[in-house]
Amino acid sequence: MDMLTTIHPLEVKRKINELIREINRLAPVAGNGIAIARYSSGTIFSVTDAGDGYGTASGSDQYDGPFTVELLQEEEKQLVRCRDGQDENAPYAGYIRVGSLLKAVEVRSWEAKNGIVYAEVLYEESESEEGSGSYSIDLYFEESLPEDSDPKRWILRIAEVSADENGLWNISQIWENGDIEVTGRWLR
Amino acid sequence: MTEHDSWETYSFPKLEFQPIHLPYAGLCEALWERRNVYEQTADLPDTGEATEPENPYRPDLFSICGKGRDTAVSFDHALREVAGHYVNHLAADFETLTEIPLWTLESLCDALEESFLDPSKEEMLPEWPVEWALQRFRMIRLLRFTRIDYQCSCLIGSEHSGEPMSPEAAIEAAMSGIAPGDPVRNARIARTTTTIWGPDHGWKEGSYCADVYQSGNLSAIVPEGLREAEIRLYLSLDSPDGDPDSFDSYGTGLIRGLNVLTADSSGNFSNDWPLPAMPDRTRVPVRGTTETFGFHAVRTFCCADFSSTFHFTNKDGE
Repeated sequence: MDMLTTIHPLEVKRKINELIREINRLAPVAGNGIAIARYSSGTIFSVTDAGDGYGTASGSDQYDGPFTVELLQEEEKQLVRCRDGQDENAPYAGYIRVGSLLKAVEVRSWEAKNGIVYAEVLYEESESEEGSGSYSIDLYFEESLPEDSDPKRWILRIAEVSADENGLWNISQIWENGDIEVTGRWLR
Repeated sequence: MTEHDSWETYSFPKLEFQPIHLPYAGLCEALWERRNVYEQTADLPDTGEATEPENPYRPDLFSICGKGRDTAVSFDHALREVAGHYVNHLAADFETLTEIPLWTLESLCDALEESFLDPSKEEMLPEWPVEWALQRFRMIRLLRFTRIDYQCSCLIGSEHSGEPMSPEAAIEAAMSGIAPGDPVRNARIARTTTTIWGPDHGWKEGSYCADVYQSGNLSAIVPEGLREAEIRLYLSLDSPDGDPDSFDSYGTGLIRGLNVLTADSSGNFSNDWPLPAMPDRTRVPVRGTTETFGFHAVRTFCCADFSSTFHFTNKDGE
């Protein structure tokens, strides 16, 4: 008890931070040709091609094309941001093509939580005239995907965000193919 | 397809942003319905079980994914084949028509006053274009009149007695005492007479011979379940030897070229073709010749409007 009372609270905080840094130092990080997938049952290390396709930086397999999802520290908040990985300052995260319609989707950021970043295209039929409906196209970050069966809603998972037992955020980028084109739908 | 299926079941005409499968399946069901009307299933072995023939156009849902253009080309090929079994009922300028106007993809588009969206010639963007599907939807709805059977009686006679008589008398003699036979399904439609100068057959001067073939008492065979349907007979006629001068209508009022006759819902044509009949004008063969005159059907297309039986039709039956 005496020991505890003699340690200054700031010292406790410093020690905890040291522990966290040590843990982070020991934590494996994906590198060139190595992919890491973390599951509740364990962590899998995979050897991958260090491809040089669109959306990946040379020498790294980490996706950095349109619709890249990343963590961002802003003041006291951890944010999840979806942006064009090729251009830090681009106002658009990427483009979504729906038939002849090409929509530039603005960069979006949200407070970090366990959830899924997804693109949604929703078509609303006009009541008055056939073929004069409108599209709403945007990015969303929710705990789970919408579960309704609206056939005129199209959803694409872009990334999953989850926190491990230490509260560290992990992002699994799912969409790694550049700009997005809606397929499998009747379009104009 | 169920009896309650319709265009609306498959999301037509509001297709935009629909997943591909349901509307495409609707096009396939509609095309199959059009084909089923004329498809011959009588040759199929009777297993004693009531089985519905399988729709050959029904898509494999997985195989068409990502293959919009190929699928459209394949569908158009099938549609062209089915359309060729339906007559362009809107083509009414019979004086200028020379052939029976069976539908083609191009004539369907002409009737719709639209440009033909040909997936084999253009890069279709997007992969599954709404415009293509809606054009096929409108095309299929125009397929209404397809083939049914008809029947007619035939009279065949000849005069080769060698007795001195005029050509007209030879024709009458050829037909005397002959009753028309029982109605024959889809029998040859023709009325022809061949008159022969007697000495050509070894007979005396002043004699004539005659061979006569006449079809008549024409009626359409109306399929069961087809009530109050419009029935038409398209007849493309020519003279027996192709010479306009030897064309003879035998009092039927038919012309050399395309004729369109209409029948009542029981299948009886307004144009009455009693048997026997005499030619409008008898051609007299000169010495050493024969004269063949009359008409025969180069092409025959008896058809009925099946739109009242279709599930995939307009709400107003058009």
